[in-house]
Amino acid sequence: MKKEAPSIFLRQASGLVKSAGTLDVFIFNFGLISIGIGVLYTHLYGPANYPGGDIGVASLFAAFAMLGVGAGMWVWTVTIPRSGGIYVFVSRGASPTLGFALGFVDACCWLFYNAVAAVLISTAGIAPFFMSLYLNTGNEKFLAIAETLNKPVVAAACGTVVIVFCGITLVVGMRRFFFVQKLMFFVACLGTAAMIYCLLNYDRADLAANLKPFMPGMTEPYDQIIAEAKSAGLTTERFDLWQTVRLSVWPFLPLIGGAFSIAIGGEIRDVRRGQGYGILGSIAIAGILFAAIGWLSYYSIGADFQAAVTFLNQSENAARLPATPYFSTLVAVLSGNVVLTAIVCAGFIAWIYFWIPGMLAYAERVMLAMAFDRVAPSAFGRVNERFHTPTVAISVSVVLSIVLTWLYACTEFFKTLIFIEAATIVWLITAIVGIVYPWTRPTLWQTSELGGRKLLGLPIITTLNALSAAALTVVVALLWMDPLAAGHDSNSWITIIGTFMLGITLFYCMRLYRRRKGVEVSQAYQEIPIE
Amino acid sequence: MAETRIYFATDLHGSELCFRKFVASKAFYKADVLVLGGDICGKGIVPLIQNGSGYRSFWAGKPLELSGSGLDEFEKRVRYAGFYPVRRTEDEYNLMSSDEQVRNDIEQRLVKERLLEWLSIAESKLGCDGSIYFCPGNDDDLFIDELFQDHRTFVWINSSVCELSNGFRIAGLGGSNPTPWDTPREFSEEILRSKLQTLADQVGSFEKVICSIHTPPFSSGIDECPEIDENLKAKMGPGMVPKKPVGSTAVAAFIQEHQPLLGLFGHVHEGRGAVTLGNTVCVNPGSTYAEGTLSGALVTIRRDRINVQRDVQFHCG
Repeated sequence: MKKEAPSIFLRQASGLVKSAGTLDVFIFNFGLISIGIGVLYTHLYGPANYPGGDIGVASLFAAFAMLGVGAGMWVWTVTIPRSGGIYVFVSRGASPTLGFALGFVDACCWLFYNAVAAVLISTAGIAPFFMSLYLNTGNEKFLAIAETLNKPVVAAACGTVVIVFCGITLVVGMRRFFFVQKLMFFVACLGTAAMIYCLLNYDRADLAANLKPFMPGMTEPYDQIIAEAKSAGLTTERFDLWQTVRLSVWPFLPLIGGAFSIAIGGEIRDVRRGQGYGILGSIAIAGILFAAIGWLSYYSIGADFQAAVTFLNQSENAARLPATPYFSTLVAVLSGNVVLTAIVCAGFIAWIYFWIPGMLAYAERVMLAMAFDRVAPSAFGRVNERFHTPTVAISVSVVLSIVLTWLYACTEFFKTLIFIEAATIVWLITAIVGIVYPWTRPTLWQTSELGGRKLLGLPIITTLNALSAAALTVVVALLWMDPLAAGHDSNSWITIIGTFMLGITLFYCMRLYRRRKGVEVSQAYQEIPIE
Repeated sequence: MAETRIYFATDLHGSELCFRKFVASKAFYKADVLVLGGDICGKGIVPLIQNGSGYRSFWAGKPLELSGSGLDEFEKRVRYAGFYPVRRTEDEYNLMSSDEQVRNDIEQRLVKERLLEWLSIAESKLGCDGSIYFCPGNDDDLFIDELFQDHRTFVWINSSVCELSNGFRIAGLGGSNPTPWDTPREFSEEILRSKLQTLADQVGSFEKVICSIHTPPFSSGIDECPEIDENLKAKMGPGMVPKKPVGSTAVAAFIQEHQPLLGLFGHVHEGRGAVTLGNTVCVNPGSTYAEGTLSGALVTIRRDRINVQRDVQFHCG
């Protein structure tokens, strides 16, 4: 008879807490994935450009790949349960120079996507909200507001307001920040529930009927839009596996948010369980949600119709809808209900909003970690005496985000930049460092919480990071081959390589500066030998 | 220019690996003074129960069957992580499980054995010239005091003040304000205030004084830790972890009033940072003992001054 495993007897010692509830942990990570951005981008670019690509299956592929990546990040954050993300893992696992450069590129990438989200608040969140109200009520004032919000300067200004608001809530402390986060999470979930309600309770007949007032030149706009798109070159297929795989890069991007808790790893109790359920659970649920929304949209809106409206919009065809066919707009037309429209759009706005404080906090934690190691200006680590928050790091994140927001909104060059490849390559290198960690840092690995644990005969950090590396390699390859999602445009690559080189340069400059002040920064990373 | 380099680490929680690193840190960081903060006792006992020719145990959520070199390796890993491995027969384990007094006696023995071993390591590596200034924390049982008070390598600075080189002095106070865990060395804020007053009377002038106080000042920025609820359950919210200050108001008032040159604090593992309260530089290096790295702070005093941006360097060795 197998005997029970013995208990560990705990002393009367401080810090021994019970783990947060599974729901709390899940909400924590789920709040870092933007369901709204995932649905918006996947449905805006997917149907028209990946003929035969199934959004539902693609979402599951993306979730599967991201689960592999998430598993690699999970084992990293359990092994080194400190805040600072990629920078901390690689600077300790490989070299401080590589760690700094990758951490710098990583932070820049996410600040760039922070700027994208800030612009999307207006163009894909608030503007569609007013456009949907116009489509449902016919009131031209709503149309005017929507058109104004789509102007680059206005979008940048709105984004700036949101970024500043998020920065202020991060500065003045956790309680106010938490209140806002919980409120937005409620709004986001309510909006998603309303969206699913619409997809379940309205169908193509409703959509066809509701379209007629907005397409006065068409007697049967639903069918005519599809026919017009096909005659203009749209290809529709039943199911194509390769196109589905290609399409999966779109839901993959927002799913990365599920692993962002690595930036605050040092603040999470029971890291193994907390990060495990949080990272992997949130990715799995979000992937399933993306898939469900995708399949429901095929039932209620129609795959061919979604492909047609987005195709016509891309080519600025005369038969296109009077508004950008964001998914929120399509659901608004589908339901024809002002109240549901308002709730659905508010939900999308909330989901887009979530990325912004999450990205600001990510960049701020990286700066803090670098400041502690004295490879960033010490001011970044300064804690405000009144609020006890790192106001300098938060402010720098806010300012950089605002600059990037205006550049993204108002310049063609920045609109064409794609950083997702850079981010995935950074994570791929991190995964490779993780594969060899038990051999490059044997003592640290053995003494870590998972030290000694094996999976498939190898140290678990090796196996899971190999899985992560495999998934990321596929994603990088797909992105490289896809000019719409990323491609290998020279502007982007010059910018990415330039950012990486800037990171290396900054590191060496900082090290030299500190050395002249009598501070040897390399000691921050060196393991003290005990023999 | 006269420079004094102080290396401070705290909250080792029984980690043998971190203690060995601490002892090696003097040479590694070329420190003049080593200060060890409290909470050096580990958090738990890991029983290894005899099972035929081997043993069975439990670690990181997994039951284990161990024998031979695997057994030695496991015990080393447990010691390095700050826990106390103990080999028991099935009957001894059952007795330990059911009898609290037996458990307490074993715990006390194991804690003492570990500390005596540490004292021996420190003496062999650093000599007998009072190299480590030490003050206990709230997790440190009272019975450990006698081990350190007359030791040649350690200088016991709990509720006392000592001379350092270059005209500096170091004063210490161990224990903490109340925590949810009812640990061995907790005091009400009133008692802490009284103890700090007694310490202040001993010190007299606080010029060139370094204070090693286990609990950080309340709401100082280096005393924030993740919040827990009344059931000791961690709190989490969407995208963030709520934190709250848990330091001592008595310590905050003490620092504000007396303004020592430097304050060295521990207790809050997540509170890593360096802040200034008035003219006092307050440092908490945090603790990462659980991952096998020694979190420490190297503070350089130049011309009797400390620039918090330049002269405080954090390491995770």
